[in-house]
This record gives sequence, structure tokens and C-alpha cells, in this order.
Amino acid sequence: MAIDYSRPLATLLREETKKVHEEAETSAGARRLLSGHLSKEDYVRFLIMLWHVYDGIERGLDRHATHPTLEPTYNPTLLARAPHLSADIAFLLETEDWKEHPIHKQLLASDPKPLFNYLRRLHEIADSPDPSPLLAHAYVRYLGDLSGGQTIRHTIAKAYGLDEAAGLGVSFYAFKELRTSKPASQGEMKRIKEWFREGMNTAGAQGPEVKASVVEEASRAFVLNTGLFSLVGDEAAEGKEESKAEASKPSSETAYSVSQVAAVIAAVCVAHFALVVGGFTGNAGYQKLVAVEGWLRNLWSSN
Amino acid sequence: MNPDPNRTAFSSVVSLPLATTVMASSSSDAVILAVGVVLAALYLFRDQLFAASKPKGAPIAASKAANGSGNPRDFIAKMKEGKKRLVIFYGSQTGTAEEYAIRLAKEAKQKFGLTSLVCDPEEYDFDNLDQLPEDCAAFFVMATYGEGEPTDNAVQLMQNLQDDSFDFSNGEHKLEGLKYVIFGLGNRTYEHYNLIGRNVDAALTKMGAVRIGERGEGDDDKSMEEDYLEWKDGMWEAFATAMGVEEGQGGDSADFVVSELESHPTEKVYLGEYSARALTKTKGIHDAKNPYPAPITVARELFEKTADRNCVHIEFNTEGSGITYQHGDHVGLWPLNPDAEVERLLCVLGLHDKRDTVIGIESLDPALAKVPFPVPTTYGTVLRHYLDISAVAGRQILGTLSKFAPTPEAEAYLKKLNTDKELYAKIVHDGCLKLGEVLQLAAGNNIKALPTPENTSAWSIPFDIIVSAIPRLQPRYYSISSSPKLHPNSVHATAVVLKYENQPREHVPHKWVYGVGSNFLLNLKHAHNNEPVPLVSEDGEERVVVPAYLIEGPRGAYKTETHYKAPIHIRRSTFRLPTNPKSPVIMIGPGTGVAPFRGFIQERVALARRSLEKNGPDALADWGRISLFYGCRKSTEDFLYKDEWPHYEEELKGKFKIHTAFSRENFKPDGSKIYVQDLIWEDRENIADAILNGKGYVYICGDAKSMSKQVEEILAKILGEAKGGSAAVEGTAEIKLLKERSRLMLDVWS
Repeated sequence: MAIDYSRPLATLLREETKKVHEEAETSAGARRLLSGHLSKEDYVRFLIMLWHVYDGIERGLDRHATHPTLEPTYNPTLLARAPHLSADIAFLLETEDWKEHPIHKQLLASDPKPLFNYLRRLHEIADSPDPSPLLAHAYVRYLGDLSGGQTIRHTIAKAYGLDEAAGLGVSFYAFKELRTSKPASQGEMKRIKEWFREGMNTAGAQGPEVKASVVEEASRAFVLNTGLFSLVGDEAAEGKEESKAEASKPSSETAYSVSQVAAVIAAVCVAHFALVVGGFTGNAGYQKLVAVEGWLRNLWSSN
Repeated sequence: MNPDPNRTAFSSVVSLPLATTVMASSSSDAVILAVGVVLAALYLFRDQLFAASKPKGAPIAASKAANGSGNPRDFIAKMKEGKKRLVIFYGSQTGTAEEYAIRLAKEAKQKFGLTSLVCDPEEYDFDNLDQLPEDCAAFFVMATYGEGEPTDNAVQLMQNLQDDSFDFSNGEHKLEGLKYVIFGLGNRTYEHYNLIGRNVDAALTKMGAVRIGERGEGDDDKSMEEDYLEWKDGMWEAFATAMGVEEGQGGDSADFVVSELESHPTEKVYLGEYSARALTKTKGIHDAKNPYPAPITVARELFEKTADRNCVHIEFNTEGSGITYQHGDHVGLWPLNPDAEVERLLCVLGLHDKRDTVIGIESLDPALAKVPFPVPTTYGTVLRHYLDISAVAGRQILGTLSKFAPTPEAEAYLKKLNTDKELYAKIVHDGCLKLGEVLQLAAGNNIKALPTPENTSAWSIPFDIIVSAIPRLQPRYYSISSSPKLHPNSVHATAVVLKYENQPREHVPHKWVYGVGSNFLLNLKHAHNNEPVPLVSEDGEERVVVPAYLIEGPRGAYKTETHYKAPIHIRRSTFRLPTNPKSPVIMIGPGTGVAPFRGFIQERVALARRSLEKNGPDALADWGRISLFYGCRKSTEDFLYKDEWPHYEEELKGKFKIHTAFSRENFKPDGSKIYVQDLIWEDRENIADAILNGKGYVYICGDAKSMSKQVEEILAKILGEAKGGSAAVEGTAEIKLLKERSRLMLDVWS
């Protein structure tokens, strides 16, 4: 399917990343986060991972602040999250020196692939001659924080007994107003998002190449975020959580819409077709699968 | 909880093949398509493939409900148990609706003495909503979320209300005669403004329920608070009629219980400490909940002796505290009330001899009112450290307190002040009277005399009312005037000492009014340098001009052999220099508005030193210009940090220039005063160039009312004209753009 690059960049991004976006949003990890059932330690570990991501994004943006793709939305005073994350982590771990804290050290020592892939990609872009794709990463993170992030804030504050009014421990979710330094309300956040989209359109007006590279990168950014979410919390505990939900809501199957079922059937058909045509059946098929897996792994790490 | 946890898994399955098409079209690689499809297939069959790895735990949810005596999801039972006549449901996503729900509960209690059960609808069942007794009412505080949706916690409630097949315990979808109040929260920038509030209202009416008063609607975008205030008075009036209650019935219903403790281990009594950590001397992070008693290393006067004003430069040592800060941040200083005011209120409350009595305070309804400071403590400590007794007394509290007057005349006078807005404005507001002074005045005491039990009438005000009615003493914030790059272990602040005269009125004598925080700093400065405290003679009586404070702190903790300490914490701000030194910077900060800019300049000086060391003498060649516009009265009187600026100019190799306006020294040809605005206009060519071509940053700090507005106007004029247009059109547009990019930032106060 050809992408119509005559549309404004913000529209393109919204429409062309719908699915990967939803996938990131509805992934098991994201759900664990939203449930407020994560242990405080898991939540802090997530914040630490986010800090690394934002640190990567924001250093890149600072470095290329005057690049025509990045300049229209470059506004660290308004957007930069790394300092807020650092403050929240310090508050939750009760030490300013949180980088020396065991949670942080263990996280890095555990070789968290999805996190490292994310960071590697950010550095790659920042070091490349055209840092335009950084806009995609800013878009995926900041607009998410300005939207769903606000719901998480309340859940998190309640779950960990944080004082929302004082903002200690939840400053990551707070933004200032666009034109003043007062704290932003929900309506103001909508205006910030509109402002950001306008800035992206200005950047996109440079030409279809810029749009294409940003749109392509945005899909990747969502995938990287889904990967990051996979590190949230404890998979095993999630299993329990799910079966509990299933047990308590036996009639939930009836809730699937026709379109969902149709799509699943379509997917099965396409998958079956591909499996047969591609010869991914039987023993030979297994060998091919292994090969593809290896290739796929290389694709993520080398790209 | 996600209402439908399974939806998640399915939507990801759906999305994969579609995502593949996107990828395929961009790289047109058939292999990727195949891989995507295979992954989709694997994903689809993952349950079968990986079934063994998933532990199928027994349902845990059911066991929760079994705890406790009754059904915890039965709000009617809970209301009966707690003798509550109101139930308040809130549909809240980000907490705002919940806040308003709590406020309604507080007001119902204050006005009518009615207590409420404030409910998260997710935690209760609604099938017995029809059993709400006749003398009760239900409140709904409902936010509309996103595109006209209910908040997550109200999904079930909405379904139950709108689904005709949902039967209440009466076996019908009817709520005949149920009395309800509704307040909706929405946002006009979204479509479907307040849809949920309206839907709840419609559904309830349809079921035969009766609304009390009008439906309230608040706009979160602009005027939530005003909308609420405008709505609530009429609602409460209708509420009183519908419920057959009268306002004033609950006026004295207490929020707290204060009890005097006979014996309590002294080391566990709070004598001005702000946190349990401070009391037990355990380590921990320092923030607004646990300020750090920072040793004062420098405290000096910045004005010349000829000035009749004071400006204190103070340096707090933060070494080893874990405290870090950035240039442009604020330091919160935790002051206490001056001795005289503590004495005054102790005498007025008849607690003069009970100041050290240990008291415990408990909240009667912790959901509605938290004890605002740590306990157990003492009467004296509360008045000295925890409550803001130095502020001008509010009008509302006077009505409540009139009942406890020592004489009928005092009671009548206080009631008059409470009800007569004009009299209140004239006497209390213009007279700048603190609560203690108002009570003294009402009882006919002399407010100018040093208060003693002999010359002060005692009021029998229960202490819990004092705790409820007087707000907590808040930290005072100052723009930090140093950079952590030059001073990693110290935080500098610059504060003009606030002192002004009231407007004497009939019965109200002339007096001086002193700012609580800045005079506390002045006390510290005197003590730090062993300076004599200046005296004045007034009415033939020698008195100190500065109110005295207990600067030694609780248990003398703030006084060591070498120095004094004061409790501080850091508040982050967004007032920051651009990361790149090539961006030009324009700073406008007359008076103490210059404070953060001293920090900014130091930040650049530190960077310059490093760059020069690394890249040689030309390292600053491509730096942007740094201009500071400063104004004060006279170069010889109140020119802050006069001696430092030339050094900074030298270190920054000509990149930094300070422009000064001395309003009582140099004058325009027509004799009028010169202000920073005039300097800015003079330098307009450079300013326009720095902003428009150099993508420069502009910072304004100081008085919000006149200075900052006028500076913005002059900037609009400069930019508009530079763009070949006008201030009103091109100039205003440019100012807007600068603000949106955070290239024009304000740190102002009024």
C-alpha cells in the first residue's frame, strides 16, 4: 500500500502508526503499568529505563536543536522529561545519587535488550548526518506523556501513596503551560499537543523524504516502546493476573466485535497461505524459521 | 482495572498483519511480509504453543470480598454504620473530580453538620441505590473524559444507570424520589462538553429521581473554580430546603480533637521539626516534606548604609545534604512566626501559661481533613512554627470566633466585621491586622502594647477551631542567585526585607508591617554577624525595629558553636539558560529581579572557564551576546552585587554586558526617570538582531504587575518594527512564538 505523502506530517504519523501505537498501548507491560499493581520497585525500574530513553532523546535534540526538522518543536523547557524523571526516581529511592542504587546497577547488569536496542537506535540517529528521525522519537514519547500519561499519574499517585498536589514523585507527568510557567491543565495539554503537531507539520513541509523518514521511524519507536514495556514488572505475576481476570469474567468472550473476529480470521487465512507458500511447514519449515529468527535478530541490533 | 482484559490480546493480533503492510510498502521486501505473517501465526497459536509456561492460578479476587463483617461493596450499610446522610460518588480520572467531591463533603459538614461517605464508584455496587433513606441524598461528581467518555472508575456506574434492564433491589429500573445533586467536570476544548454529567442527570431524572438545585458544570480548561463557586451557593440553598436542614447547624462541628497529654516522652514531641526524620535525626532525602537545616556561611547586607532599607545576601551550605540545584531554581525557606505574634495569640487564647503543654491532635475524618502538621506537639509550637498567624485575618473565621468572645461588645464587633464587607476591608485589610490583633481590638485591648495576660482579654476559643481555621505556615520562595557550577555546595539567595506601613483607621493605630520570611532572614543576618539590632524610639519608648524570632530553632538545633542554620528545600523551575552558549541571551531584572541572573552569569562563567581551558583564548568567539538590563534607585545605594559585575564581564571576554538604569540618579532630558524599559529601547537594534536572527532567549524577572508587562510591550514594539510591521500585529505574534518555544520566560511575582 503506497503512502500518500501529501498529507501533513502529523496526520501521516497518526494514521500510519495507528496499529503499532495501539499495540504498544495495549501490550501486557503497559497494562501492568496502568493497573497500579506494579510493586514500587518495578515502577522505579521502569522510570529508570525511561530516564535513559529520555536522556538519549533529549541529548540528541539539544545537539541538533537548530536542525530544520527538529527546530520547530525544540522546546526543552516545556518538554524535557529527563530532569523530572531523575527527580522522581530520587524521591522514590530517597537518594539523589540514584545512579549508584542497586536497582539501577542491577538493571544495567541484567543486559536488558529492549532498553539497549532503544538506546542504540537513539545514538545512531543522533550520530547520523540527518537526525530528522529523532522527531519521531520525540513525538512518540512526548505526545504519549501528554495524553495517557495523565491517567497513569493519578493511578500511580494512588498506588504508591504520593501527594499529587505537592507533585513529589510524579513530576514526570506534570507539564508547564505553553506560554507561561504555570502548571498545565488538561485543556492546556491539548493545546501543547496541537502546538507540537503544528511544529511537526512545519518540519514535514521540507519535503516527502523528511516525512517518510519520520513516519518510518515512528513505527520503529512504537515497537521499541513495546519492547520497553515487556521489561515492566514480572511476566509470571502477569500470568496469574490474567487467569484471575479470566476466571472472574467468564462471559467476556461475547464482547469481541465482529470486526475483530473478522480480522482474526483474515489473519489466520493470510498466515496459513504464507506458511504453505513459504514452505514453513514440516521439518524444513522449522529450519527456515530458525534462520529467519536469526536474521530478524540481526535486523534489530544492526539497524 | 481494565474492564475487559482480553481485548488487549486480540487487538495486538489484529494489528500485526496490518503493521506488516506498512512495513512492506516502505521497503517492499517480501521476506518481511512473510516474517510478519509467520509472527502473527505464532502469536495466534501462542496459547497452544506456550500453554504450559503460563501458571493458571486460582482466582484471588473472590477472597477479598469475604473480609470484614458486612459486604464492603454495600454503601448503604456503610452509611448507616457511620450515621452518614450523604453519599458522594465521583467519576475521576486525574483526581480533579475526587477533589471536588471531598470539598462538597467538607462544605456539607461545615454548613449543616452533615457527614458524607465519599465513594469511588468502582468500589461499590449500585443495586441498592434505591434503598437510600428518605432523609439522605446522593451526590454525583462526574468528569467527562476524552471524547465524551466516562472515566474508568465510572464505566460500571454509567452502565447501570443507563441500562434499562438493570434492576435495582426493588426489581425495577426506577429510583423514585431519590434526591440527588450533580456537578459535572468537562473541558470546552473537547467536543461533548460535560456529556457524562448530563447523561447521569438525564438517566436519574428518567428513573424518577429528583435533582436538588441546578446541575453544575465546570470547565477544566478555564474556569473550573469559578464555575464551582458560582454553582454551589444556589445548590446549597436548594439543598437546605430539600433536606429540611438549616445552615449554621454544623458551624462548630469539629474536624479535629485536641487532647492535652499528661505524660509523653519529650523526645517524641515535635517542637518545630517538620518531619519524623528531623525528629529522630535519621538520614533521608530533603524536599518540601523534609527541609534541610542548612548552615549559614555568609549573611551580608547588600544595600549601602545610607539606604533606609535592607537587602540580605545569604549563603546556605548544602554540603553532605544530598541537595542539588540548577541555576534558576527557587529555594524554599521555612520561616517561623516572630516572638511578639506568638505571645499575642497565646495571650488572646488564654494559653500563656500552657505554651509547653503537650497536645495530641486527631482528625475525626481523615479523608476530609488531615492534621496539617506533625503531632504530638505543644500549643506554643503550633503557633510559632506551624500556623500562619502573621497573615492578615480572613473575614470568614471572624464569624465562627465571635461566639467565644469575652464580652458581648467584642462578640458584636467581630460579627459586624464578619458580615460587613466594607468595614472588614477598612479595618482589617487596610489596617493590616493579624488575627490576634483583630481579637485584641474587638476586646478593646491596645494592640501596640507588648501583649501580656494582664493587658489582653482571653477568648475561650477551642484549639481545634484554630487548627481548622488558620492555614499552615508555608515556606517562602526566593530565586536562587548562584550557579551550582561555581558553588556546588552552597545556595545563595537575595532578599529585600519587606517592611511597610498600614493605613491607620478609627480604632486602628499606625503600625509597621513586616514580611515574615525576609525579616527572619534579617534576624539571621544580625545573629550571624553579631550585629547590634537597631533601635528606634516611638512614643518615647525604645523599641527594636525588627521583630525578633526564635532563630535557635527547636531544641536549639539551628544554633551551633560556629553558625546558625535555617530549614530550606529546593523547588525546581523551568527558568533556565539555553544549553548552547551560541544562543544570545537577554536578561531583564531590575531590583532583586537580578537574583536569578547572577546565577545565570555564574553558570556561563563556569562554562567559559572550562571552554577557555580546553580550546584556548578564542573559545568564546562564537558565543552569543549576554545582556543584562538592571535598574535600581542609585548606583551608590542599592546597586546589587555592584562589585561583581565587572569581574564577570572580564571573564566572559566581552560577551557579557550589563546595562544599568538608576532612577534617582540619571534622568531623561525632560526630567523623568529612566527605567529598564528605556534601556531596552535604546538597545533595540541589538535586541531585535539577537532574537530574530540569533534565535536568542529572553528572561524577565521581578515585579509582575507593571515592570514585566511594560517590558513585554516594549519588546513587542521592537520586534514588530524590526519585522517591518507594528507592535500590535507582528510584535505580538513574535512574542507569542517566543513564549511557545520557551524563548521568552518569566519569573515574576506580585
